[in-house]
Amino acid sequence: MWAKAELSLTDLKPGDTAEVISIRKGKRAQMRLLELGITPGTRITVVAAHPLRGPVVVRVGMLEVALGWGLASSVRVRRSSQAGHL
Amino acid sequence: MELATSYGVTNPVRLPRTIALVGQPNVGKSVVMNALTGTRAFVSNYPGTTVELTEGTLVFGEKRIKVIDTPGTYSLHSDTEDQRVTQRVLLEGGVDLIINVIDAANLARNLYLTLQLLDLGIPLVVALNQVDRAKAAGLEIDAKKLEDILGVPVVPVVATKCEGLRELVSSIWRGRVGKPIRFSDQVEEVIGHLEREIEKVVPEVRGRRRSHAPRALAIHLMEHDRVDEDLFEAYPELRALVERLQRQVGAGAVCSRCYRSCAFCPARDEEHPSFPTCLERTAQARAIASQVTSVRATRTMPGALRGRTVEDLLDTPTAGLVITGLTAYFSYKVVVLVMDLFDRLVTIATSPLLQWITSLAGHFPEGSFAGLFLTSLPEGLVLPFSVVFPAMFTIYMLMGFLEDTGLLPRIAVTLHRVTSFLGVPGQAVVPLILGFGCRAPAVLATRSLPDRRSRFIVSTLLSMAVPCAASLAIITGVSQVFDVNLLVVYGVVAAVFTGTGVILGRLFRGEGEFVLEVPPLRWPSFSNVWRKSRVRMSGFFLHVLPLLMGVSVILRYLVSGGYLSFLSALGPVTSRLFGVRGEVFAAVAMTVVQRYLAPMVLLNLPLSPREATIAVSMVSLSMPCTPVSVLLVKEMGWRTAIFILILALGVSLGVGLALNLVLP
Repeated sequence: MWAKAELSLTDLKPGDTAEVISIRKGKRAQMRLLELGITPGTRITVVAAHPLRGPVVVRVGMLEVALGWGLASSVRVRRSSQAGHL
Repeated sequence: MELATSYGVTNPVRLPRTIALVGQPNVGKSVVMNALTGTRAFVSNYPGTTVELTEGTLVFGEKRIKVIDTPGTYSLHSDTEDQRVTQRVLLEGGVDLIINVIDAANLARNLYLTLQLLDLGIPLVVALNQVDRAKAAGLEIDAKKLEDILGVPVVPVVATKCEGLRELVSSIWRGRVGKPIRFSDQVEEVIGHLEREIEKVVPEVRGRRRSHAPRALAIHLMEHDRVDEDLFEAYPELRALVERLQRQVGAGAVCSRCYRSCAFCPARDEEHPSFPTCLERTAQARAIASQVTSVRATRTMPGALRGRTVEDLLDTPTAGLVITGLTAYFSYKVVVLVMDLFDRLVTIATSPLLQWITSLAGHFPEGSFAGLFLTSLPEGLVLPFSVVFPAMFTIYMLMGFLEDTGLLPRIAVTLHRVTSFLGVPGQAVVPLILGFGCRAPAVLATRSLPDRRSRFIVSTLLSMAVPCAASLAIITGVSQVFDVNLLVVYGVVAAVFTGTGVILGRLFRGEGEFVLEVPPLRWPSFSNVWRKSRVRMSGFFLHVLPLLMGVSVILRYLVSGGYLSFLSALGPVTSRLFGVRGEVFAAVAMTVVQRYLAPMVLLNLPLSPREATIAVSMVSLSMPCTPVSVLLVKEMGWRTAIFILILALGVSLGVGLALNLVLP
């Protein structure tokens, strides 16, 4: 089991699954993520992380969403067990 | 009414007069629209394809129902310009029925908007689209159960295959207001309070009927970060109410259950959680989605869905770079190849005709109109078909394929790091790429960008430094005539593009967060690409061809009649400063009308290769054409439009000066 430590979305690697704990950014950013289905409690899987502080692509349900690095780093997450073991 | 019966409606109630198709981006609203009304709204595979309203008519014998296709909107409080277009339509209150198109494969997120629409108090029908894709992913959705929960008709459809559309049309009569959700008691208390205040100031019967439930207006007020001018436009009475509440709250009379997140609250706290209504609605949408969805197949955990592996692979940064590079290289190669082919074919096919025309022109006296007309006909006729037509057509076809695959947003993600140097988010590449087709729709497409700043920067770059297909073709064609160094021309264009972007990005700093939905990959449908290209090509026959022919006749007349000689008086000055003769400035001025007409002016002048290189560079980087200028005024306002125009003229002159100094 992974430790239940709080991480930033940018700490995760492609293939990692995690649960969003909080979004430490202004309301505007929170609302934009909410529109795309990302709120505290959402389970996401990292699909790709672009180099040089590039965007992080995550899967939410059947959708893929790209987040800029700055925004991704403000998303606090907790690693959860792999999606397949749910 | 007869038709109503034939559609399976036994007890037709009141027919709606205006229907709006509303849904989240990329769910297939435009497909439904085209299938219902026979319009030809563009269909692509990226969020933000539709940025304007499209109107069509649904005909039932005698009855005609207006159908409005709206830009996709994630919610009724989303903040980009295209999404606000949709919100405005719903606020203005002319809509009798909403068909909410939702994506069965992404039910939870789509239901968020559905729940908001239920609040509005406008009759609703839900079109559950893409049920085939959901099924392929092992998701079975119980439409009947969803219908019971929402209290409105839910019709499963596969719009691309026209499945279920008959049922959708017949359900229009069953459209109902439905059952809005209840929030937690705390939130309901605040809503109730606002609702009562609104009922006091917005009378039940106004000049026209009140089109929204007070509850909807109360929630709208709570969820809007800044006070919404569009709302005040529709309900001017609310302005005084909001101002009064703002004063009360400001004076310390904080609502009994304060969330510090209403539109009028001065105590707003950036770190405060999102609006409670939004969070609760998200939770309820998820609960409803899981109630009505059953996962059918055994191995359907999100990581193992079919087709996922390919997308995962293509989403890696390396693949993104390869795709972006290959797309650019391949597009360039194809355009050059097709243009070359056409050039030869058209030349071979038309040379006997042209010889005949030229010999015919010899029969007319020097300077007569008929003679002039016939001598200028070849360039007005051959150039459009040998150069402009193939370039435009190839670029449109390539663009159509690119739009359909879902690669466009992937390129946007890959290039986000690059575009952020220009101060704009990655999705700016979408309007920029569209600009290589035609810049007018590209300026409109900037509506999907997240803030005004990005829209301004991208619009400026589009107006100045992105050549459209027609200009690109003419520039190439004219350059061959004069032996222009195209490497210099395109090098200068690229340098100005980058330079302007970087400078504007530095001057107008902004925090602009990058968030972009990446749609699933799809095989492009050839018929769709073909149809879009045909519609886009209509511009060639309607504007490009007649303008090129007309202008080439007029120009020959002006030049041979010596009407441009006043410009040659400027010769000493211009050749000193810019290294070109005075008449070249007629070409620079011409870019205000249409950029692709400007090189035609040059065609009438005896230019040296060096002079032509400078002149072509100057017209390649010049003012926005008339259609683009009009759109700039409409979209960004007078001041911005004039600023862009002056900046563009300045850049054009600057390029001339610089090249004159640098070129041997």
